[in-house]
Amino acid sequence: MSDAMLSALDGAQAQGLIGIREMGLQGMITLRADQAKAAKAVEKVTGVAMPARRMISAGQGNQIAWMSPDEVMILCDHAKADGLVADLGGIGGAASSCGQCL
Amino acid sequence: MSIRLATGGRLIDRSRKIGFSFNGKRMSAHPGDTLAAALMANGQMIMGRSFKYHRPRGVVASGAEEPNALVNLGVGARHEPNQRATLTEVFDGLQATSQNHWPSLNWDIGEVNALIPKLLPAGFYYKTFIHPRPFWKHVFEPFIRQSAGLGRAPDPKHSDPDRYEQFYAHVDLVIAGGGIAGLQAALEAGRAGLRVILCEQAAHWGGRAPVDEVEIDGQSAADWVANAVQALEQMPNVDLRLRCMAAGVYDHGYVIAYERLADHAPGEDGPRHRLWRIRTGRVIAATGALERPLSFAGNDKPGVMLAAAMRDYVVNWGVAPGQRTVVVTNNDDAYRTALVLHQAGLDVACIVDARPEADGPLVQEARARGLRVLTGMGIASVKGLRGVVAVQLCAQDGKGEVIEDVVCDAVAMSGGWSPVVHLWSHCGGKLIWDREGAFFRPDHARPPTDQRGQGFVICAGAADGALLAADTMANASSSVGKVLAENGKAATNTPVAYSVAEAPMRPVWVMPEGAGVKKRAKMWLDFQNDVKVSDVQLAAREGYESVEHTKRYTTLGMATDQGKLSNINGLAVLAQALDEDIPRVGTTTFRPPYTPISMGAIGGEARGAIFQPLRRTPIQDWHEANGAHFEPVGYWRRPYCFAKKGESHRDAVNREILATRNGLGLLDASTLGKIIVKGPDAGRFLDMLYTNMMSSLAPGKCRYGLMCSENGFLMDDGVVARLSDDSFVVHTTTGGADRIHAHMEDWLQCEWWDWQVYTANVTEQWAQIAVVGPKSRAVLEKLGADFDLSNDALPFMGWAEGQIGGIPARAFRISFSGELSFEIAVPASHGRAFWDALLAAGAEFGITPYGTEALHVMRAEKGFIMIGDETDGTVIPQDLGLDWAISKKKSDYLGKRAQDRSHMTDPNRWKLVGLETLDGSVLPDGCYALAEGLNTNGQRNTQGRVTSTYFSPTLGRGIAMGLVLHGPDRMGEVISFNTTKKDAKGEMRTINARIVNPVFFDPAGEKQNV
Repeated sequence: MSDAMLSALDGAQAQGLIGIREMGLQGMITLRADQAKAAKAVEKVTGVAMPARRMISAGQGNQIAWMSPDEVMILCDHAKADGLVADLGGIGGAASSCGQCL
Repeated sequence: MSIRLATGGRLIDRSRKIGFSFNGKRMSAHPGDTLAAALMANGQMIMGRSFKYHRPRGVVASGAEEPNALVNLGVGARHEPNQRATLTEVFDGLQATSQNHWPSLNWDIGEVNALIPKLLPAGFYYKTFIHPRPFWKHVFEPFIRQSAGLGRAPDPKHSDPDRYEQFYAHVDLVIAGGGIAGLQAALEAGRAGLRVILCEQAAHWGGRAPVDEVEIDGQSAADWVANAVQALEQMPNVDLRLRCMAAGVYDHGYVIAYERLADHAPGEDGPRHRLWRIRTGRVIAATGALERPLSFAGNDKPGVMLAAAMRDYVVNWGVAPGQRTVVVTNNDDAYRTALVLHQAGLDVACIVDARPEADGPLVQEARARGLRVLTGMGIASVKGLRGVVAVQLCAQDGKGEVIEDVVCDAVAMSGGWSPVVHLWSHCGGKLIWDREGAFFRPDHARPPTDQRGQGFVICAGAADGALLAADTMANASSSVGKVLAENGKAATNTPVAYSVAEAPMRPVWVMPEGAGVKKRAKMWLDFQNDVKVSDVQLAAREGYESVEHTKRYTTLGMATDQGKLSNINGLAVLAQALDEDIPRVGTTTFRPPYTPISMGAIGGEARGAIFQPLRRTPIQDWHEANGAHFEPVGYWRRPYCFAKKGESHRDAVNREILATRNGLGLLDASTLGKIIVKGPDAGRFLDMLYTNMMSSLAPGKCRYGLMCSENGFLMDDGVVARLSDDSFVVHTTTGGADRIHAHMEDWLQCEWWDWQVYTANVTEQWAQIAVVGPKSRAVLEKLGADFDLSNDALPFMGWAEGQIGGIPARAFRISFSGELSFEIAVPASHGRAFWDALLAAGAEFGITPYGTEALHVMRAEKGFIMIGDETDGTVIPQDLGLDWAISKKKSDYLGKRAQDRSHMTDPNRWKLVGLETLDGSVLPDGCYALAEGLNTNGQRNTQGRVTSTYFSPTLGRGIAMGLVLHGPDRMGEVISFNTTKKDAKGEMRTINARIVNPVFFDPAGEKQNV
């Protein structure tokens, strides 16, 4: 059988004042934690510093987007998301993080 | 008559002309004109009619406070009512019409109301139309409706062609008002590096200062303003917004600002309005002050205008409202108007000053220029029908005996100034009465407070009661200094403003003081709603002591201008009538928005298809391509059934059910809410949310649970699976995911903030497919699972994960149909592939996708409740016989205490039973079980109602569930239900049904447990 993985909009495009194209499958990890306490471990796993309020930080193919005082979204390669969640689960603060990958 | 002056008008471009029309009449204007200025320049002083008496009205103000000059603007799809001519910038081709008149602006039939004002006193509607009752509906209401109302509503056939947007911003400081106080505050805050939004509702900076010939640091106000704006434009941390009004201040530093981007240039590219949604640390309200009218007989006639507005028209737009003006005042400031008029070459007939003596510098200058100043005097009445032809003067302290008639065609009035404290008040800032200035100003000891208990709104300049320019500037510097100090900074430059000093004003609430009832009935307080001094006094006599009640009884301050001109005057008149101190009578509450904002801006981009975007499951495309008939469920459209060509929906539903019960069915259950609950306290948290015990659930197991509101009512149900020691996945109903997630966050953030639990709504991260029926295990095994799907390894209410057909999957052994059933969750990106694989592998088993109706029928056959059918927000689990799902061991859960209340434990609460019609027919949905007799309304008594009713193809008959009085104790009893049909004799047809166990099919659960 074929397991064709589809993204939500399957690469849809729109042209107008600006062009928009769906980038396809994207690893997205919701991390809920005390950001100050988790920062070190998150940076170790992702290589990216915890973003300031309302900011996005980026590096080494990953990005971290500030979502709320206790939530960030980690954007990563789709295939690497599961591994990152597992790594994050081992950062000691597992109790205060809750990862889910697409 | 009003005219355009030969010179002057600092805001208009005299070198260019533009055309517009008013009531179809072509007129011309200059760029920079407001509609009010342009109308006066064209000799059009009457601009509208009042609401109640349809009196002719001219413009009275020059800004946002205007109560009279409201027009219909635009035509067709861009038609909009109630636009203030004072804020409307004229553009080429503008089309305006006047409001509230019939048949014409100059002669209005409703004006007859004004000739007999005794017919329409305060509280008229309450008093008059009570009896006889039928008259209200058939006589009074149609008549009143025809003559009432302001502008014409937009044509419902047109949809608004303009775009609107919303914009979020986070700043340190919002400064509302771009006068000299606001500009000074912005300069200091900007230099200190704060992120600042400075917004000004008008189309130009500087406020009143340039008109009032203020000097700042030796420069003219106009030059200082231009330099300040230039300096601010260089600061990247300061955002300058013209035509942008801070409309409301809310908790947690939330500010709404309303920017009119294209009202002056309709049809241009880009949005028309922008709603700014701002979070700010502090708000500086540099909102200035509004001049108050004086209450004398005939003060509402076209040509009677606020004194400061009149000099605005002369100085800003080169328009003279009249050729010969009487200035009437209780303060020095109005003398500026007399001087400006005189300077422009216009006649000032006299200055009528209510004060016994007037000798300030401005008064002296007026006298020096030869202007006639009359002190201790007032206006007894204004003569003229559709305009001013003369005023009659009297002694202010008398009863109004006429001393002299003065011919004039305009009156400039000033009753003093009131600081604009709205933004201070929106979030709870308190006011104190300033005796000297006779106005309310912010009480610095009681500011609106933020989430830390700190005052977060600071009034600056005139808004803080510092009316004289020198004080305004000093106040602005010290006010912004407070914000800077909080940020560890200090002001760097405090400019000094100079304006001519003023002698104290004298509060004058009624002119003349001893006016009789006839005169008081012609003194307007609220121009738009036609509330007069006599109305407020009548309310006081009738026992209205509270200003809030008086306001509603008389409609004072309830018009579209929200009493910007009338509040203080009305309050003072009420206080006098009650013989009370003004501060003791209190003030009304200022609520946002400061002036009306467009519905379009509130809606923003959320209109049409994107008002509430529909959610799509990963399998939606397949449904659409395969004949699904959709029904709305929450934010989704779910297949109701998949009808084949020529097949009715009912036949399709029956086919889907039988195929599932006898072989293999497939349901897209991706819409089910999925919320992860994780943390050391996750079990404790779920024990509070659900009525039954969740903390005792073992990893790898599932449990059905009920969720109740604090009031004990059932709000959601679903299956909880324990993923690991510290994590669960909570399944909610399709429509419930967002609501339940918010409910969880509410409790975690507000009540149990110290519990170690996090939640995440992952509903759309997973496709969930129910594989249902006796062949369900077979098809999954055929696909090939790398984990054991047997009943021993994965029993009912267990779950396991691994790969099925090479796709990562979680298999939940749960069943909403009573059949052997696996709900398989796969990552959303695999959802379609997994669905397709199941269809291919299931072909040999007759695999049949089914929709929500088959799901409903199968759950009803099993007696399973459905949130929204068996529950309606008034039903508790005990009503549904779900006592087994309520823990007796737990000391608490949400709803527990409520369920102990006497009404909840009343044995007469209707309870869930099954219902079988004697003739096998299907009971109508929502029908009632009839009881003997009639209630007090003459309606038939009832003893129950149907909550779910279906044709069961499995049983070949109608089945239903319902809530019935003492139902579970009445098994086997036959009761009758109403229908909407009648028999041959005209009597209501009824259907008899037997009370039975609600589990119609496989009561032992043998089918699902294999």
